[in-house]
Amino acid sequence: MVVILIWHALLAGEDEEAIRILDPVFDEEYFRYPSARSFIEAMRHAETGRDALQEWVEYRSTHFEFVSERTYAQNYLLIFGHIDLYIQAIDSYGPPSKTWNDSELLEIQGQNYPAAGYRKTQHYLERAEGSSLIELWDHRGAPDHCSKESGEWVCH
Amino acid sequence: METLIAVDRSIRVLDTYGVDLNISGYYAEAEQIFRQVIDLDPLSANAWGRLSESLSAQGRIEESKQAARRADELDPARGGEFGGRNFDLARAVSR
Repeated sequence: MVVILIWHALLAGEDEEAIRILDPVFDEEYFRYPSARSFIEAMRHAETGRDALQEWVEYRSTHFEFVSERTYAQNYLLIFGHIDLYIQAIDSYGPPSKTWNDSELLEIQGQNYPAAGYRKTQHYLERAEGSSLIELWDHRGAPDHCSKESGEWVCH
Repeated sequence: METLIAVDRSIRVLDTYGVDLNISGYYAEAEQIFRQVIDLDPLSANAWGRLSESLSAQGRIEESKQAARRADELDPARGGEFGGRNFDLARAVSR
């Protein structure tokens, strides 16, 4: 569960804390990066970080069998602040479904880390509509993070 | 043994319900469900991980971190994982 601690640290900009936690579990799955520090510093780089992150996600996607391995990496798109790439990753799994599908492995984390900002996006509401969550909210009552304003759901 | 199997089933049902609540945005209710699971199986790293996520979703970051640390203490080998079902019947038998 240290991943939860790593993501909290990264979202708070506490990179040294993230490195301290990631170091003991760091392995070859991090591609060309020999250490937790080199990995996080590469992903944070103002000019090359976005490309480096996409390259790492691509590496994970092609070298690891399980969907959870791919979505684990794709979640870092959100954690490092690239919501547009994170949304593209969700959409790559197809439209929202009323039953479980792989995109939920990504969307759950977008919900669970409000500091990342995904819940505020129109994309989140569109997926909520498509997966019948809004129908549920209308029937069962407002969820903890959304309210209806002038007849429209607003989430935070 | 039958009692343990019943407890295991209860935990699985509660776990599924809690995850559904969390996905649906009823984070505080999910938190209460995961606390019930922890009452039944205090050594479940999975339950502490789930609790951590429901607390995170509510913006209660420090509490989320504490729960995640507890999950990691209980099962360091699963350090990078999100969750899964790991109620350990053998461990329960030994209690």
